[in-house]
Amino acid sequence: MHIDKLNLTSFRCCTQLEMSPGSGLNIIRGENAQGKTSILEALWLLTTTRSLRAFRESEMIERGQENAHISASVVREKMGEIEIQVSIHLSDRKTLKVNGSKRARMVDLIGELNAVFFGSPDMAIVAGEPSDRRHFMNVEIAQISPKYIHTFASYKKVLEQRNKLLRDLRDNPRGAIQSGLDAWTEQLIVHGGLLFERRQFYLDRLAPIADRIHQELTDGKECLEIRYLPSIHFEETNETIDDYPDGVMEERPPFVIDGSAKDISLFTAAFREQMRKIEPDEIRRGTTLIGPQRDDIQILINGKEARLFGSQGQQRTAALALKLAEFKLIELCVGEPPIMLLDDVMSDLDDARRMHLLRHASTCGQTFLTCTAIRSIPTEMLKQANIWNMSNGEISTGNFE
Amino acid sequence: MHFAKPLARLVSELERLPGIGPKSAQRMAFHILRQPREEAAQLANAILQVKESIRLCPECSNFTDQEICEVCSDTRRDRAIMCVVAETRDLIAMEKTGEYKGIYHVLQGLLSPMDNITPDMLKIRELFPRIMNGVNEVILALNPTTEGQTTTFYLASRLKPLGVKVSQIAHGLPAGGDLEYADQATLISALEWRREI
Repeated sequence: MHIDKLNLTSFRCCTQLEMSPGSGLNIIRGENAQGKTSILEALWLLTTTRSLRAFRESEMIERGQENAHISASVVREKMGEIEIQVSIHLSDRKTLKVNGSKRARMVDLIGELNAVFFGSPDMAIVAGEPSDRRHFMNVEIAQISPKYIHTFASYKKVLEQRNKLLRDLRDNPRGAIQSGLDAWTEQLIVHGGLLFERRQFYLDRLAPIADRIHQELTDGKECLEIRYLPSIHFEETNETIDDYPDGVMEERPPFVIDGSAKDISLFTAAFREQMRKIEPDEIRRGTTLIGPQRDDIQILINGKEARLFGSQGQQRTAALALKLAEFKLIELCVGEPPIMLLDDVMSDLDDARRMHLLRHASTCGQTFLTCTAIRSIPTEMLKQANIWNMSNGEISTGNFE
Repeated sequence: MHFAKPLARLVSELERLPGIGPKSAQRMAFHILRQPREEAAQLANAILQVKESIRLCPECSNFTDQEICEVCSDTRRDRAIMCVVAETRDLIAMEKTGEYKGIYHVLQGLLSPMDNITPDMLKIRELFPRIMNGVNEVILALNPTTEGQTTTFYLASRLKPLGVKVSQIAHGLPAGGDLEYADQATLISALEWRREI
């Protein structure tokens, strides 16, 4: 898939911006604070409905304006061209039109455009907190499984309600059954079971791809292991993905988007059992103690935990491998490569990794890359790329001299 | 410059109504102020009257101005089937279909700890003796929201041991709706609730 046309109106510092990006590598060059990342942010918003960095949606509106608009035509190999228009209003509300017709829910946007974003904050996937890694899982899985998004939203609501009830029971002890705790627990289990199952399913598929890419990046010197650490114990299923010879997995794409009911029931059964045991503790502490909100991913380089023992270079390489694996996985699930958004990452990577990333970027579909200088990019790649100059919120075509 | 006290009081009372913000409250207050005295009195009377004459039906907890509500006092109703709804407005919506001939039970809300609503705040205790009194099917017609689903589970898990048939209304596409324009959550739900034909 690729973006054929992008229009920004009153978005961040771009009063009016129109670009027709090339279907390969697009390099957006400019000084700091000229609006380079705003273009990536707009594309990310079309992918996930969320801003990359805004705390409030209205921050994305140009000062003094009431609305910001992003519109793009997305060309998909199978479905043809889709017109997407998102408007952001001062009230922090967003509205969505697809092919000119208004959609009631913003979340319906997800899946129209797929993208992988890679920037400095992504280094946190390896080195940061469990919440950073959960965020990585959520964003990735959401792009390929709409049901995950809806379940995740319901889970969050149930969790909030249940935590409030547990707090009340702690502060004001009375019968848990009479208070309806069992009903909230059951809802949590039903939604949570699906989240566990999806996370396991996708990480099982992400792990071998990430390992392969990591080995390539390190000339076979390092192997990367990705392990899902759900906050509950459950029996592993017999089927492990590594058993498939390389390539076989890619021939069986997809990946049934709905995991089998049997798998989900394994997770719900384990979750239910452990919830039952921990309930008295939860009442005493006044909060939910297990569930997808406490999951983590373990990332090992040559058997050692990358977060603790990895050098900064190793952590960056692992983060890059994960992102490239995510790219591949989306491509396998969706049937065409997503777009790639690279935000000023050149300075974070050493020469070898930079070359690998650039080779990937120049061969795998449409890429948007922001940078302050193009010195670090080899001339033969620059010759094939579309180069854009960004200055003061305005974009113009440039060249590589 | 501030509003004169009586006017400020009216504004602040109106502001407490659901869905009314400061601006709407002011607009309504000024509207009332300009109304002829009789019209304002009609409004005030209507408010008082609703408080004085409307009570909960002792059987189904529906709002009524009778001793027993219209549905409960209707002898042609099938007392073996009971439909459980959250609010009187839901009961009215069901009645408008003209398709349902059983009796109702109005919970007067849904479970929501965030709003301090636990089972004892709802008309759940009143439900059980009614079911023991000859009901053999209970239809749970609660909203497909987190709160509605939790309340449905709460009731179902307590009703089933009584040996009564418990069902839940279907979730999915609106009649006359367009598949193409249905949102994802609704479509996913319609798929899950599909039935063999």
